[in-house]
Amino acid sequence: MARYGMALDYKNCINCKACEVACKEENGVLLGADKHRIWVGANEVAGQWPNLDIASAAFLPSQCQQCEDAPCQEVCPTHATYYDENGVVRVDSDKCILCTYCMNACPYDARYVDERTMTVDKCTFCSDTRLARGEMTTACQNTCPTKVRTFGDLDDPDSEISELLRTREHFSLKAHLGTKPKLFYLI
Amino acid sequence: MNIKNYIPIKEDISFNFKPTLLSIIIALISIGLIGLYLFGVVNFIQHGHHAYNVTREHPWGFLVGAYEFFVALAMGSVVIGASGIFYDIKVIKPLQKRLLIYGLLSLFAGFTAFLFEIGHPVTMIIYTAISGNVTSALFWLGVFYPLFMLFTLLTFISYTQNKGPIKLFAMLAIIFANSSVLTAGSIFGLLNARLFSSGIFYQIEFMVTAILGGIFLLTLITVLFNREDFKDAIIALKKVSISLLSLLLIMYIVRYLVGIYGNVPGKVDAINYIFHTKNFIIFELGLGIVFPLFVSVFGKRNNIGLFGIASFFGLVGIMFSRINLVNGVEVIPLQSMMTKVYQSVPSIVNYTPSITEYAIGVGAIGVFIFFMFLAEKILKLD
Repeated sequence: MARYGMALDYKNCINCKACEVACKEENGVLLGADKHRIWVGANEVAGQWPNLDIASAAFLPSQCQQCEDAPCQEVCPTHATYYDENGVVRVDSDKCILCTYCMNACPYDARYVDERTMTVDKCTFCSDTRLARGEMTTACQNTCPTKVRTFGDLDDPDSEISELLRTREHFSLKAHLGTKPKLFYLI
Repeated sequence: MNIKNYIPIKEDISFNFKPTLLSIIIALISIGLIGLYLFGVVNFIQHGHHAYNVTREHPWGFLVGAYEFFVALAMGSVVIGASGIFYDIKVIKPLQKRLLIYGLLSLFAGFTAFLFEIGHPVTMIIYTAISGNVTSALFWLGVFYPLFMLFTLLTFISYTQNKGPIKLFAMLAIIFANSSVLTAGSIFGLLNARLFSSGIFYQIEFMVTAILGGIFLLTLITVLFNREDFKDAIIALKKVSISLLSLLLIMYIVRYLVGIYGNVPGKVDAINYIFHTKNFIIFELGLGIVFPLFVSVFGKRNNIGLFGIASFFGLVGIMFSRINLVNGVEVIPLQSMMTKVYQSVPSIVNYTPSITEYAIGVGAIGVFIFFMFLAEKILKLD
């Protein structure tokens, strides 16, 4: 039993999108811009050529925030969205009715329709693939050339993520909504 | 068991109708709408959800709005009809049976739209029953709808048979109609991430517009079929509509002012956007609230004809209020950064319903008229 979370040293992100590709490859996410479990948000460079403010370009890698009080889980009428034993928010495709209520409830726009099963899908921290095979890294973490992501057990005081959260300041996205995300952005 | 012992079925069922100009026009419109509905359904069967213009950012579309419109009519009709029975309101008596049956039929018409919005309706029935999530408003709709239908039907049967605990059934029908419409509003009100709808505005708005919808529907039927015996009821309900329309207008003004002066990011943008669209200004506010209110206040007390026209536009306004709600909920993107290469940072999520969505949503009105036609021909409602 673990309580998985992820810390993101987002200032290291170079927007290479290797994480997006690795996620699609590992988890069999269909091609197409609308079908993604993870993404890199980018601020456009401010200013006009040649006076561009290069420093204004910022990248914010993101995905399902694996909330402890997940709005998507609360609104799901059939318990298709559930917390697994490791606190990961997952979808039981047999129970999903494709009402898309969870897509509207998620404050992070982290859900999409998987057109093979016609159910709503999302990031599962590679629970069905890498974690199921006994590996302890996610595909996005494993492939990142600048080590943006650190995945691990938040309940294990000796884990790398616990150490990072103890020693580095961090914030969560839309924390005011009370969703208690388990993705932490390191400052 | 003979069903005629419980349901007042006519002895000589005939589907003939007097070929007046009005009845022919209504019949042609209904057939056209049903044809449109079937076209939409066939398109959906061929292409599935690809036939819709809903997206990841705008997952709910026109059909959710159409469905919520019929829910409003259903609950409003039953609340008025069952209140007439429970409180012994004599003036509503000639309408009571119709109100109860129309309420049920409107809900069924709503289901004909909702059926094609939900991806897996059969799975929904099974897993809502065996794996229901009590924190979900959608689950509670699944609880309240069957109870609403049950007690509305029991009220209808016991009222026509004049036996059984009629008032108890009527009270329970009112309670579950209100529970259903409040829960339908809560589906939007409990979306904390969507500031346009989160809060209690839409629960109250749904209740108010539900009753208004019931009044408008009855007025329209009274005018179209020239039912002299309904006129006293409509005159009484017209007074109720003045209060409700005034309340609605005040609610909208306050909502706009609070939204603008509150200046909450995400909320103010959505309110600014929706409240400045033609759909809102002309249809929802102008035709749906201001015009019926003006007619109710300044029209002659007995001029049902003009109120009938206002009622038609009132129903159009309620339909647009649902569409504007669904659009307003989703119009502001939840991601504020560029997420696709070559796509600029989105400020508004654009959505225009597809032909298939229009066909099913608008065509469901034809299905509703067809249901009412069958009810008039098969049941003894007078």
